[in-house]
Amino acid sequence: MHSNFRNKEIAGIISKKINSISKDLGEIKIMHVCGTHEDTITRYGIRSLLPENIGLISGPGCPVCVTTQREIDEAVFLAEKEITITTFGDMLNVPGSNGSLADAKANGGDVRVVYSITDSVEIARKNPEKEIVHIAIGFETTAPTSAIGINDAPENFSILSCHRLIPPAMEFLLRSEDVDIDGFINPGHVSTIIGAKAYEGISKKYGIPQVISGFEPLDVLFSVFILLSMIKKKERGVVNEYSRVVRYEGNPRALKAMNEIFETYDVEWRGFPEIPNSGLRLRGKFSGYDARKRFDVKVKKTRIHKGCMCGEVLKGKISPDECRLFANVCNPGHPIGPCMVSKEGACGIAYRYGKDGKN
Amino acid sequence: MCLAIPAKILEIGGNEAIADFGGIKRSIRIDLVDAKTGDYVIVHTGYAIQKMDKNEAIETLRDMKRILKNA
Ligand code: SF4
Repeated sequence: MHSNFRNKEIAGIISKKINSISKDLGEIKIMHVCGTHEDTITRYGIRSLLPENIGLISGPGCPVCVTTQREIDEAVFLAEKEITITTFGDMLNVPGSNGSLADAKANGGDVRVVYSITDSVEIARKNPEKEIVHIAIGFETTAPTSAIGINDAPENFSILSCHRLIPPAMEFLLRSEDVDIDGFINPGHVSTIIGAKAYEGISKKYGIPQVISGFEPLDVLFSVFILLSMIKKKERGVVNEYSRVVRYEGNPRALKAMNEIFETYDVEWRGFPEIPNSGLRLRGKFSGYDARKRFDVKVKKTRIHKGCMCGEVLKGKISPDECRLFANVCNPGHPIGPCMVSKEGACGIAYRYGKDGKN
Repeated sequence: MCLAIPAKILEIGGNEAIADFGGIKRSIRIDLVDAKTGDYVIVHTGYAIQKMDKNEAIETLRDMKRILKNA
């Protein structure tokens, strides 16, 4: 089935149509908010198939990248206590103010990479004498799995919740005066959980067209085409291109699990100030599973490398190569910011495929 | 991180299932979906997060061709 969504001939046709429809559109900026979309776009050279006036920019769609320095420092703080930390692999090498989780591990900390929160709960169950903290990052796609994990968890398990929600960040960008966006490519797997209906309010309020897209090259190209057609006809609304997976209502069971355990709160994102209701923290009833409370996590003033422009990359204001450190001081072997560490970070992706993230 | 990939459910036991990821078998959790043996699901960090609808996939490809012809 995948191969059908990678058909070169159809890609050529869509690209031609995009070029003709774009002729009288002026400068257009389309933003996506998903690291996996950035991977598809860069891997298949999709930007090179678009005319000059159509910009496809990457937004705050990489969970590791938008995690703040404070959260990284909190994770390292915990790893330096006699606590077992479990984390998804991408988090390991993100530099905090004083080293990364990998450094904490090298210094004798018990830091383990897991594939799923279930693995972490299992470690807790098998080691009742130990305290296990899972670094819970991710958007709506991942938060329901954390909720299920907590439902299953023994007493010696807790999480450092770094979960965030995508629609409030999209709204924040639309409200910002210095960011111009003419249309959004919405994240397919976040949408799997929240459904097409979750974006309708945004289209109404800000008059912006949105297309929920799958992750194959034809999905993304076709989504760009649909967006441009909408822009041309001045249509505002939400189109679901990824209907093979995304339903209008999303996944009600996952939403219910997530909402039972978590509540929203205002939280900063890397490169962004506090965004209202964009973070998830454990509800009071579940505060026993909140590592911040359980271990009285305190971090001192955070420090970020001065040259790192991750924040600007995440706002879509610059492409990775516009950061002076890109590919010289900062590279995957020696990452300065999370956008280079994460497999979904725009800087890391641009580096891997030898692209500047522009074309 | 938000990477999620399709797999086919081979066997179900309670909240867990054995799924086939293009030849590699792995145990996954199915708490978040209503899945049966033979269903294709999208799996993220060890959890099936939604069922995949083959007919919709065919439909989307058909739409693509139709819209592109008329556009
Ligand atoms: S290239 Fe490195 S230093 Fe520059 S913005 Fe990206 S992660 Fe930060």
